Amino acid sequence: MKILPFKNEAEKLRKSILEKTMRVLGRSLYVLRVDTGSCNGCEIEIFAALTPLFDVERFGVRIVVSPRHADALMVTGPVTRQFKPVLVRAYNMAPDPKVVIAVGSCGCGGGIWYNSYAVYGGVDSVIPVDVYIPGCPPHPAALLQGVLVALGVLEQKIKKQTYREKEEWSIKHPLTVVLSSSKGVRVPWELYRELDKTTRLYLGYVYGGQLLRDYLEALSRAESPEELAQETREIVARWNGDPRVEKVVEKLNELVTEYMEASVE
Amino acid sequence: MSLKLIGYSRKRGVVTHPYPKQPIEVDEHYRGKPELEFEKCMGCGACANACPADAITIETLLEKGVREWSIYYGRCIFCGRCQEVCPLTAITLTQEFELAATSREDLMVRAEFKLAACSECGATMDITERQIAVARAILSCSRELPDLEALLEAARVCSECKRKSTAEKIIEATKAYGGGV
Repeated sequence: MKILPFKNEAEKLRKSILEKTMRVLGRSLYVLRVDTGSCNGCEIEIFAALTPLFDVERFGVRIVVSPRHADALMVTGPVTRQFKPVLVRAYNMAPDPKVVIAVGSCGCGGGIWYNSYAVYGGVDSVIPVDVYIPGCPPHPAALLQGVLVALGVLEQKIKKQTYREKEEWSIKHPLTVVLSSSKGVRVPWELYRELDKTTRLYLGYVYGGQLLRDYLEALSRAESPEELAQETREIVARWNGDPRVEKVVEKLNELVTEYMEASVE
Repeated sequence: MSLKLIGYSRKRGVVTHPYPKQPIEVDEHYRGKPELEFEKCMGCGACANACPADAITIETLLEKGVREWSIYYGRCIFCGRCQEVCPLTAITLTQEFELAATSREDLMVRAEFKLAACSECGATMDITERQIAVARAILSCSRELPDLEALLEAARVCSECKRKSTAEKIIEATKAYGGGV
């Protein structure tokens, strides 16, 4: 038996085994779905992947009910203490060669329960996993892609990345976008903070962030309060005249005028 | 009966999405893979603090002089809290959802930030150089501050040196009033 001193070599061997397995299994993968304490979100998406809209069966993938018929185990859930022996039994019962697919955040790494006393935290802490499909829950298409990656039809898209600092760094931020605009309008930090707070409070971070970006740009373009009012009317028009946005923009305008008056004094 | 169904299904046409051949469109606000824009990030660790699943972690290594940031997509629950708390909008949830990987390592993204050195004693501080740059940028675009230059300099000094200088100032002040130490 060959001893594997290097991690890379073990990884290569594992990949070649997976390839050979897939050549044996060919184009019909019989999948056993194992639920090891999942919230059923992943199950719903697996069933969605079986519906005519996504139709996994056109790739020869079928769901079976006994591990003795299975080529692949699709394991969801963070592996609870209760379920570990059952999972190991199912894994041993499935005929070789077999593939294990960990589905969802819980299956891939324990999810939000990774350090709970009641779970083992991920399928790979109990049985070896060949393909990971993250997602909470994964999109049906992501499940489809995962199965096709296991079958060797598709290439995996995600790659390991490492960033290191190289050169001098300068702050890149909506605030500095305004600072470096051609007019050179300075939005002081205190005012920016208030605007940010208000938009987040009323519209949340997604829509609020969008509105704030629009508003800061308008603020950097406008030279007088009248121009600012004109610009803000355009913003509201761009948001289809949403009355909530109108109210928030009014509030922002108030903040700006208040700030201007305070700084004049 | 079955003939009836054939007619019905021919009328409906094919509903199956040709997914692997054509990309699938998700909603505009779909919460997919959170992506770090390293050029924007200052390494403050607000995201690691907010992450409910601890998918994002930071570790400050004073001996190596770096702060290591990492995200493990396998554990991420795509809640968007990191995007919500990020003060520099450096991490955003993209529409990318095809995250299947054959190894755990492929689901990792790591980043390293240099730790700043104290301008007086040269010791490594537990904040990054970028954080100091941000603090100085915020200070310099705040409303008029009484002693901006001194504040900008103080941003580069470690807490130990700050404490020493404060103590020295107090000693001098007490001496001026005729007190002794």
